[in-house]
Amino acid sequence: MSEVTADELSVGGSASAKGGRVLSAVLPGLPQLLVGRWGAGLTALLVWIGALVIVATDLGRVRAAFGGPWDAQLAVGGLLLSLAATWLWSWRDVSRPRQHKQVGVSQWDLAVIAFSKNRTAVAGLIVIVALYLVALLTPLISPYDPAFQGDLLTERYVGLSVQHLLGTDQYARDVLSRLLYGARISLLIGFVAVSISVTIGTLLGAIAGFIGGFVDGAIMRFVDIVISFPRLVLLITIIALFQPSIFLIIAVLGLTLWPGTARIVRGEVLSLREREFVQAATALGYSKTRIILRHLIPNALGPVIVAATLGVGNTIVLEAGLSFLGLGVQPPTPSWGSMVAAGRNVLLNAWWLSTFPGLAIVFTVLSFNLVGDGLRDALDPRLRS
Amino acid sequence: MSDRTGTPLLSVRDLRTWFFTDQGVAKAVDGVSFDLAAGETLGIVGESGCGKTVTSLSVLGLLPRPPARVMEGSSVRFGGEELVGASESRLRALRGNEISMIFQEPMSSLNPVYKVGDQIGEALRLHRGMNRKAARTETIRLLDEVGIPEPAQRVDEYPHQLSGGMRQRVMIAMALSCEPQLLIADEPTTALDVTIQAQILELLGSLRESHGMAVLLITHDLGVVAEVCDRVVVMYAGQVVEKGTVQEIFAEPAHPYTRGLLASLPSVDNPGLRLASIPGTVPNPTRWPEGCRFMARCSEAGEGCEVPQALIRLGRDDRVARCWRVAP
Repeated sequence: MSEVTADELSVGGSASAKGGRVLSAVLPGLPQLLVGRWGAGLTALLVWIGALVIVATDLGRVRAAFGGPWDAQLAVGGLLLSLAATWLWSWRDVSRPRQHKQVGVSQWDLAVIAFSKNRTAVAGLIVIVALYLVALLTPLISPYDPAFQGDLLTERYVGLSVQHLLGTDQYARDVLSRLLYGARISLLIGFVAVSISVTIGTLLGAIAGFIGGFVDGAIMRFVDIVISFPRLVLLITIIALFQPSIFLIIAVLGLTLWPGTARIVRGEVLSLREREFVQAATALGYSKTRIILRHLIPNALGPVIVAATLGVGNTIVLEAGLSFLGLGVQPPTPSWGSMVAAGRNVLLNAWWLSTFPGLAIVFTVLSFNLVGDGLRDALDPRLRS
Repeated sequence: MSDRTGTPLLSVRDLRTWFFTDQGVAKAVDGVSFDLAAGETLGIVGESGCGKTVTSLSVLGLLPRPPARVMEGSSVRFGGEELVGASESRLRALRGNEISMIFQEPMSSLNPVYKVGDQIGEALRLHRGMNRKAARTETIRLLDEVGIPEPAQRVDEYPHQLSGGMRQRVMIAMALSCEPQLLIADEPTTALDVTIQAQILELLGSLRESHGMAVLLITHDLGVVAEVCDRVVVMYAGQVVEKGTVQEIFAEPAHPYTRGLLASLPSVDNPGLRLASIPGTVPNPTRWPEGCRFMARCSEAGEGCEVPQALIRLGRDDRVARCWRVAP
């Protein structure tokens, strides 16, 4: 167990301010990287260079995207925003003398420090940030339209080449483009479904734990019922009954994943409500709602964040599984699971069809799990080393 | 020493708080009565498990129901208003505003995720309708008043950055924030070391005078009682066994239990003397003894003790003891 000292709170110390500024103006992130803050530095530098490359190589496309569909406009907005944010962050970071933060070091600050020392977890976080950026910027960077078909006679099953970096599929579509668009689906479903389930689970768990008695019994029996449905069978049934769509999948996943969170939060709240600060809050005349929302839930949030991060990974696998079975997002919308399925029959002849979406799933889920594990260690003072 | 004209600020009559558990009915508080005048300090003393804390929590209606239940016939009047059976919203309006409470364990009585200033500020904004800025100014003033150095900086500290004594001061500041008429202090110094204890007691005493509030002090420490209280209620096994002024309790303790507590205090006059202790422990609250509840541990027990004991007046209404031997 090492104590976190005030010194470490100003991570890195000061690069010589003037040289740092010049460097930061050209390559934001590099000054931080040089003083050993590789996590923040690398992220900033990658975002900056990546965004500049997009602008430099494809300015015409960026211009065209202004008048394009909403996702293209969103991508342009995201591009400009990430350029501006990276530059400003690095500039401020370099110019402002990093004061030793001694007053008001919260437990979150301590957790951030512990997390930033965990190299694998930070690496995972960088991958996740990069993935979400790529997903956002897809309309600007994908080489082809995901539904664009080449010449079916000559361009089917083309291997890795300069025109098609990751080859083409059975309809002569570009695998890389489809992979990029597929990332949007997977990440969106993972994020939104988990947000829904975490919100429901946290609220219900906190109410059950704090009120107790009949309310607790009713909520937790409901949790038992939801948990006892075989999730995959439930999903397949619901999707078979209705037209499969991305919203249906998000709704079904979101509404079936919350019982785990509810149980975690209830357990936390059960122990928290015996703590004296909750009694003190009651003695100050605070309402039940205020105590639950302001005093209990923030204290129970650590394990929820960990569970949510791991949950995003699980949800992405689940969605890939559904798509693999043909029950997920329907063609021609690309999704990693359905791409793996499409390449399954031609694995020996066109290995790239299944391999790359498969790798994408593996790395994405791995990153979420690494970050989740890192958060678990960082948020639990007993596990901080 | 205190002004006891008119109706008392707090009047507890025949309070019985029972816990209905799987092991049986625990009669944690079993017929307790006492009065507390405005501006007065009343100490409730007794060993662990004799019902002090349950009494104080019953006043504010803070006990979880079930298993706890304040039984029929109990009465807690605050400023003439009956609190037993009062609606939750009415109690909520009283808590923090009119009656505040500080707790034993300063380590866990502050919320770890908020800055201490925000926690005091929350009470101010909620009860006194202040805006963020006014609440911050007032918070700094309160922190200063309870003797926290550099309040303008401490206001932005998190609880884990403060020492136990500092946290207890923060708790007191929070309890004072709405100028309550009654402050219930449940073992406020037990978890602190001796030097800090003295400071906190001194602080409570001076705040009581400057704010003119009444204090109900729960403690097992007769030394604390001697220092700050006007009157004392000694509790044993869920009952009041003796009441009196501090001078009376210390000079002429009437009940054997009170004498036992006093004998277990270290004495300045005879420093070499071995401290006396009361043999045994408080009996199980689900099975109080039939007769005198103290009999099994009493050095003076004998014939006449196996029947239930009543409180016997020793001169005044508020000078009583629960032992047949004191009868004039």
